[in-house]
Amino acid sequence: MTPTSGAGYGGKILVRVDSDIQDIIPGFLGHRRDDIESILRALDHDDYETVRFLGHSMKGAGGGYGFDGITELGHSMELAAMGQNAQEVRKLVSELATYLESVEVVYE
Amino acid sequence: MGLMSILIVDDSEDNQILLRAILRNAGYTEVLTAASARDAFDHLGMDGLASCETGIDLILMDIMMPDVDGIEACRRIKAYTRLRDIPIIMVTALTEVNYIEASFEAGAMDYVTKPVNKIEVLSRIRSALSLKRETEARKCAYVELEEKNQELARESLVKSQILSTATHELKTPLTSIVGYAKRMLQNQETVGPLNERQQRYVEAIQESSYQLTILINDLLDTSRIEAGRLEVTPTQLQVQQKVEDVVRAMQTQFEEKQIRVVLDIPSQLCPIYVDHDRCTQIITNLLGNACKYSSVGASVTITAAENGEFVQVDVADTGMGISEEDQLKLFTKFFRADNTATRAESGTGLGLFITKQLIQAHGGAIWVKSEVGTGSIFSFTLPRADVDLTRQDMPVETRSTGIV
Repeated sequence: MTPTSGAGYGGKILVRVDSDIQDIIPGFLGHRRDDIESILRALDHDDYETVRFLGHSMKGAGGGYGFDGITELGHSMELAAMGQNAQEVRKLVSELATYLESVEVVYE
Repeated sequence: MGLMSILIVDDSEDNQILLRAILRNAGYTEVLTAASARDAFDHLGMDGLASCETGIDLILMDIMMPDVDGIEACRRIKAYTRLRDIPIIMVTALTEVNYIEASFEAGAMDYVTKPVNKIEVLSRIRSALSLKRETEARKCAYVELEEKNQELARESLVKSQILSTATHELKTPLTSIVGYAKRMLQNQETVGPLNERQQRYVEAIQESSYQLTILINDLLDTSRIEAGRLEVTPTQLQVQQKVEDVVRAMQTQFEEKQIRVVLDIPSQLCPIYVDHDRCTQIITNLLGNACKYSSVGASVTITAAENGEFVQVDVADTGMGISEEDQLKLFTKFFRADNTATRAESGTGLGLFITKQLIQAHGGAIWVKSEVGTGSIFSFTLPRADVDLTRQDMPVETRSTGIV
């Protein structure tokens, strides 16, 4: 039986993705993992502009690939960066990492 | 669909990849990407002097980009004549809806929001491309029409020139015929007397050459009108006097059909401002028609009265009348009422056409009220001479497109 709701089931976040774009999903998720590194590095230099840019990109692309959670995180990250709130940014980065580990893609 | 080429302009690689995948799955295999507005300009050949087709049929333009943003990029692209028709669909984050108005002002055709919805994007693209196809088809048709138009104008000009040349050539021998016939009739003491039969024959020649003269002059006038070179030289004229003169000149014609001509023109009527010879032509034409289309023993009434800045003249007959269908074509070239009784009589079908042009050249108007079986009233107006005191006796040229 396939669970229909999102987060929480056995710690997994289920995401339904159009099988049409199956081939570009791994690349997308890989880029997000790269983003985590880039954001942390940017914070070390107080480079909020980079953080804002990455958050903005994530916000724009996430939902299109099927990952609404990433769009939300991206939006929050953009705002946090604009407010130069390093603490908040780190918190969100950690949430993103958890998300990426928990996400399970179902193609349909 | 696979032949349509789409350009994606977005600084986010993830968006480029996603859009390319969506388009590919929908059958759009010709997809180009640009990571910045300047990249896009390169693809479109905007920096060089490229005058050839870019081959790009649609642009998906991200709004938020560093350096030159999407709206500015859209504006710049639309400034190029050869790129102006490429539909641009803006891609904007929901929080950027303020930019939508600016996008449309910059020339964008539509917008989609990010994160993109596959169905929404594809629908917008499909509708934009179909609109573009329609616009292009219309442009092609327009160009074809323009070319056909110019071809017709050229042909028309050639015809006018032929007409003009021909009529000039015809006039010379005609002048001879008219001259000799006249001399034979009027100079019998020096040329020699004519017996009764000879007299009749020469009069017949004279009558025919007179008809021919009118015909050639009509054709000449027509070719002048078509070339926009009809000139009139208006001066002051008394209506009553002119009408009386013309009626007298046409006496024989009226007597042949026993037609009674009634004049109702006040003696105190103000003078009008008209080219004298052309005025004779106008009145002769209208009276001639009234006579031609009236039955034996009928009457023709001519009235004149002041009408604002003009004098209006009405020529009323009790003839066969004109159908509503014919009334619409009355003043066109070569129109003749379809009637066996009058077909046999002479007439080029140019009389009313020229009459109308002459009246309009003076700033007047002509119209008809008619009923089949009852009769017709032809009315025309010509400017009063006493209204505009600054008027001088100067030639007035017509501006005619040759279209009636």
